[in-house]
Order: sequence, then structure tokens, then C-alpha cells
Amino acid sequence: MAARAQFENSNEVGVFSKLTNSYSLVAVGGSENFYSAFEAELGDVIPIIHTTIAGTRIVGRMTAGNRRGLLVPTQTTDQELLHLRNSIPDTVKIQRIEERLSALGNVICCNDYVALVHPDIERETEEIIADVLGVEVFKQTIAGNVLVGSYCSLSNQGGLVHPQTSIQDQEELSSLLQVPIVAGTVNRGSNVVGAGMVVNDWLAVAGLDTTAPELSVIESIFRLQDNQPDAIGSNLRDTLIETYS
Amino acid sequence: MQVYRDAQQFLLPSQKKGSLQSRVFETCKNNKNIKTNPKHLFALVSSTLKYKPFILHILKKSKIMELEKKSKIPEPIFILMVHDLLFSKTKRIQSKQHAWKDAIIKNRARLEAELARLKIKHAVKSLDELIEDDDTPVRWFRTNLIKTNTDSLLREFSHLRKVNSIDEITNTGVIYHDEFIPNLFGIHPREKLTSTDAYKQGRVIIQDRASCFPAQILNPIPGKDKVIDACAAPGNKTTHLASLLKNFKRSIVAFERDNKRINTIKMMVEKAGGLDCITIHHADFTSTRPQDFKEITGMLVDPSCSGSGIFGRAFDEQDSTIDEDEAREKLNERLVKLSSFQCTIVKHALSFPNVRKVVYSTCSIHDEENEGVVKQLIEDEEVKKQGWKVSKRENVLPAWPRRGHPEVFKGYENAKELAEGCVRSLPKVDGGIGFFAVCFERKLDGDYDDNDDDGEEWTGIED
Repeated sequence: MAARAQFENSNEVGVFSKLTNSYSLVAVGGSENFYSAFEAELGDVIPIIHTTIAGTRIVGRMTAGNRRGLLVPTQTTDQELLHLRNSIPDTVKIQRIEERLSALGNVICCNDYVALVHPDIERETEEIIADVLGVEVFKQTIAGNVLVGSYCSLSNQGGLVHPQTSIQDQEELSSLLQVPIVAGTVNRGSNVVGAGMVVNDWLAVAGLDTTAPELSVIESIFRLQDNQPDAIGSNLRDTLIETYS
Repeated sequence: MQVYRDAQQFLLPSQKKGSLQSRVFETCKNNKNIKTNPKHLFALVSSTLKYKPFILHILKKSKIMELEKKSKIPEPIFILMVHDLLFSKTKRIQSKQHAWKDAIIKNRARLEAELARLKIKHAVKSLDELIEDDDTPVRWFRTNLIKTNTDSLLREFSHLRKVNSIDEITNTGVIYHDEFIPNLFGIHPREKLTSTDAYKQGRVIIQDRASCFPAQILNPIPGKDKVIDACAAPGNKTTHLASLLKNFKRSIVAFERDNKRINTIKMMVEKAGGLDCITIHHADFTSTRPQDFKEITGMLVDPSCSGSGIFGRAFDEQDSTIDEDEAREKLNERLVKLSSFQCTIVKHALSFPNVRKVVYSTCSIHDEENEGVVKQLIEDEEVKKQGWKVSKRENVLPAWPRRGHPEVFKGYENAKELAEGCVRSLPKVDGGIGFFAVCFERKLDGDYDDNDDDGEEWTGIED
């Protein structure tokens, strides 16, 4: 399902939280309303970890991760790392990365199979991403923006990208990622779709300002409709792309 | 790392002649420093050459050559290692711990990403689809009439189901009896043939359908005709002639000037059992004196050509460092040289005093080496004076549909007729290699105008 939430009067839920298929990170100090948007859907399924990263609350922008692993920047304190290790499932690997572009959430955008990364990312980082997250790593820009993590929201079902991404780029992304891609907005026309929402294979949380049409695009492309028959999907993907592009 | 050091020399364009396979095996035999198994080496090198354009593309896109400049890996070794990492079955670099291996492995994610992009660009799922399949669509073999006949041979292959066209050869288990060449059969390339007794004992000979054309067109009569094969090695066409001549004693003279290839033809002739029939001369055909061969009535000339109709070894000579224009220029230059040589050798063949029929063939698809040579010859005064004409279609595999290119003979009254007299085959499309064959014929004093024997020549190929 898709939900709306707000973190301390900010609509950028992707900044203050991170959502994957095996864990979720949320910033500390939020309102109960914010947490309950996650807990309602994830409560017993995956751990929701309240944490800071490098002393900041912008956990979504600082980290990158998927079902298999979590990458945190080098500024992450030992205490935070210990807390994460204790809270995250044992199967998930955590790795601290020494990368100049330390806002990993802005420069890496990944699902469980593929990662898009900032073109200037260091070679060692690339290797670590491939190893820890178990993904293929592609250097990419989205609509001319190098901050792929900010302008792309990705799950194993689909992807939402910057509204000005050309059709050609969308097709290229779609074939790289092997999922349908649609260009769109969140939070009433915001083009930072990566920062404006979080998504995994069964839940999306977008900012409170997100309009109904925006939410319906999100539900469609990430296949979050409650009453969705199983058969729909791969054969309908093409039509979906067609409809929403 | 040893295997890559051994293999790197084969990636560079070589001055040496011969196929990649013979180059690899010979170098291994002569060079004691190479410790790798030659078979292994050949497999690695040939696969790398197949994928070389893609590997170079990946290297260029990922820029890892620049990144790893410090490790000073020679480019050929780089290519070989990347090949093994991305394109081999095991996806592993064949080496123990080594600085060079580490340098490549460090870039694995990047290389794999570029490979994925490459696959997307070419819209393929698996790597095999990237390269053109260089296997023949049909494996052709003919009965060696010296040793057996078709009926008893068919009994050996009775486990195969008969089909009526090459399009039906989609899998193993079928056999096709060719309609154009008698005693020729087509099977699926994966069908086991080289391990059968019939092959080992020389009762069947693997030969592409198109390269059976020349002997069939010449169609010599046992006991009456004596023929020369001017450029004989490897000897398939020669033994095909022997097979048609029912192994009649001393009826074929074969010339081969190359030192190594002469051994090939000797071996082939011995295997086919044609030693009585075929006399092999290790000599250059163009240096023979026509007057010494008064008994010769037919001639088969299949000189060296660009080999552009052959797909199995096309990648051997690839030189990816030059761009397209340069390559075309180089090719043109080569074609000019080749066609002038081809002209010379056919002209020499046409100057033999008692020869009535000369079949000229190439395994090239370029007009310059084919119709171009024919045109040069029929325009030659000497050739005209000797009374040579291009045989008409009715005497040259009339049922075969693909004929010569008429545009080369533009300006001739009988351009169409000339082109119809030429036989062509396209690589793969026609079930084998690309090929060209044409027949020159003349009547000499004392020949009957309407020779009954002529009629016999094509009774076997009625449609």
C-alpha cells in the first residue's frame, strides 16, 4: 500500500527514513504519526530502527542499502554502527564506506539487483557496493542530474524518476534495471522523487503533500494496489510504462 | 599467468600465413617455452578473437586501461584476462595470485556493468547471441566412390531419417540427399561424423556442397579424360575428381607449390585411396610448360582467393586497429592483386593445347575475383584466339538457382547469358560457404559439334 506521512513539518520522508525489504531506518525525534505510518505496515515483519547517522537525522540521505546490506558513510560513529549491528537482521551486512561523496543516499540508488551510482564515485566504493549489496553497479545520470539517489526511487517492482527524464533515458533505465520506469513527481510537484518518498516491495511512504494522482502513479508503478491480482504484472508492465510515461 | 603470456602473441596480427589453428599448434610445437596445452591455448585464443570487438568496447567504455596503467599489463594480456572474467564459461581468470589478476579483479563491478550495457545495446540475453554463429548450417559430406558406393553407405547411416530439403535439417537425426550434386549428403553440424568408421576409413569425405561444384561441372569421363588440378591442396576437389573418374589410373595430375600444404594433400589422397589415380607434383602450376601435357583434356583451377565466402575463419585476420575506410582500401588493394594473379593462372590453364574444359572457382564473394576475372579473360585477345567461350547454363549445374552477377558484364550483348553461366553460392544462406564457379569450354578440330558425351554430363541433375 502507499501512505502519506510528514516528519516534523517536512514532506521529504526519504530524507528522514530508509526502507528496504529486510529492515527500515527512521530518524529519531519524529512524531508518533510518522512512525506509525511505518509500523502499521511493517510492525511485525521487519525491524524499524530508530537511529542517527553521523549524529544527523538525515538517515535516508546518508545511507544506501537493500535486502542484503547497508552502507553507511565513514562519519558514522562507532556507537551508531554498534546500534545498527544489534538491530538489523544478522543476514544483512553492514559496511562503513570511505567515500568522498559521503551522502550515500544521494549518490546511490538501488534495489535488490541493481544499483545506479553517481558517475564520479570511487572505484573501491563501486566494488564494495557490488559485494555488500550483491548488485550490478551502473554509473548513471538521471535527467542530467548526477545525484541519482535524489532523483530516483526504486524497488524490485518498478522505478519512479525525475519528471524531466526523456523517454529515451527512461527506456535505457528500464532495460538496465529490468523493471518498468515512469517519470513523475511527489509532494505536489516536487521533482526530488528519491528524497520525497521511500519504497520497498509492499509499502511506499510519500510526503503528506503528495496528491492523489501522484499517489496513484506510485501505487501503479510499484505495484502496491491492495486488490491487485497476481497475474497482472510483467505482461502489463509495458502498457503501464506506456500509460504513465 | 603463464597461459596468457603464451597466448598473447596470437592476438596480434601476424605475418605468418595459415589458419589460427595451424599457427597455434605449430608455434607450440616449435617453441619449447610454451608450456600450455595447445588445444587449451587455441580454445582461449579463438574465443577471445571472436569477442575481441566487444572486449575492446568494454575496455574503452570502462576506461580501466588508463586506471590500471601503473600495473603495466600488456594490452593482449589485458584482453585475454577480461575475456576470461566476462566471457568464459567459468568466468574466472586462470591464474594464481598475481598483481595483474588483482588489478583486473579490482575493476570487476565496472566491467560487469559495461558488459550488461553492451548486452542491452545489442538486445541480447546471452553472450552467444552477440557473435555471429560461425558454424556451417549444414555439414556436407560425399561418398568416396573409390572405396564404397552410396547404397552401402546409406546403410551405415540408416539410423538417420531422410528429409527432402536443407531447411528441415534443424536438429540431429536427419540426413538430406542433395539434389544438385550426386552422392552428396547434408547432416546437422552436431551430428557425430568424425568419430564414425566411415569417416575414419575414408569412405566419406567432408566437403562443403559449393566446393563440390567445380568437379561436378568438369564432370570428366573415366578412361577418356585426363585432368589437372592446378591448385590442389587440401585435396578435397582432387579426390572428388578421382571419385568421379572411378579412380582410373593416372588420370589426374595435381599441382601444389606450398611446402606444408603438399603434405596435407598427400595425406588426403592417401586417405581417400586415390594414389593410383592422382599424381601429385610439388610445383608451381604457372611454371609448367603446356606442351608437356598434351594428353590433358580438362582443368580445374581454384587459386588462392580472399576467402571472403568462408565464415569459420573470418576472424583470424581481423585487425581492429584500422578504421573502416582504411580496411576497405586495404581490401581493394588486395583484391586487385589477387584478381591479377587469378587471371594469370587461368590464362595459363587456357593455354594448354588439348584442353577442352577449364573450370575456375573461388571461395570468394567479391565480384572482382569472380565475374571480374571472367570478364578480363573473355576480353583477352589470346584467349579469344584459342576459341574459349563461357559455358552456357545448360552445361553448368542448370538446376542451381543462384547465378552470377550480370551487372559486371554490363555493355555485353549476352550479359545475361554470361552471368547465367556462372554459379554462385552465398555463405550460410545456401547452406554452406560462399562460392563461385564458371566453366570455359572450346571445341577443337575433330570434336563433334553435338557431342553425345556432353549430354551425359547433366543427366544426373534433372529437376
